[in-house]
Amino acid sequence: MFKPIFPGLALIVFSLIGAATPVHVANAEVQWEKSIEIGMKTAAKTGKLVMMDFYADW
Amino acid sequence: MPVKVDIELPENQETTQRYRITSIPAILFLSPGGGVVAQTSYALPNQFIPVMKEALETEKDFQQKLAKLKKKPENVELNGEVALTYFKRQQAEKALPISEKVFKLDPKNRTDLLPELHTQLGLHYGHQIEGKTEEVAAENFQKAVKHFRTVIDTYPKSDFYESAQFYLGTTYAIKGKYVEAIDVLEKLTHHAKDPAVKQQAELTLTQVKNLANADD
Repeated sequence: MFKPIFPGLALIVFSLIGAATPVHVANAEVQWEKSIEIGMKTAAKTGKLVMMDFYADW
Repeated sequence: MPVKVDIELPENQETTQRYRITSIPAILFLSPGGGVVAQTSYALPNQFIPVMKEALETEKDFQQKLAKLKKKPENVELNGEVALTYFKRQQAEKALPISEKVFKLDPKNRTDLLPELHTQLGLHYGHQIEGKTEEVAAENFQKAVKHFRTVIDTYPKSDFYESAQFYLGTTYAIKGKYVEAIDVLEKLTHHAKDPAVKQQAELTLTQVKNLANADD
């Protein structure tokens, strides 16, 4: 079967070039939420953006 | 709100598919409503912060635009821009009714937003062909073709003319209509002015030809 890739349009691309100024990164550990449902609900309550990190334990 | 999503867990399949995650690591910044505001793959911390800042700015601008639209619900430009943003954020459910409104308010493409809207609509329906029942797939295929054809036939001078042809060819291929796909893509490889489109068309054409041969 043909596995389609619709590239381009659907993506919002951010240029990272020219963004190499060192910045201070806080050492505090990020408290990652593992449940999408709870994460989205919390975001809806607080009005904050969700940073969703997709990963696999390969 | 930081969320870690293990793409191998069954309960995360729906989200992974919805946001079309095809490679990891992938980091999305989502609005509270689930729209993709920005995305990146793994980046070093000092490169990551500008992406976060930009995501926040983008969301702020969009919220302002939504507030303006609330005050001027018949403003065609605002409707068009908001619809396009929702499509790009993969929130088609919100984009679809607003697109219909734009088509009614701006039948003559005074805003010059119609070619992009048709392209996004075509992409939306094009994504709803695979993995669907035959009936639904057929219906969405028809709709996708119709929208890409509109761009090609009605707006041949728009910036989306070549993209629409590429997506039309791809849509035919998804539906298994390899002859039509090859026809569209082959023409595009000859006349495309945009080198990126030309290259994509060539790559896809080779893929489709291989599939067509395998089917014989």
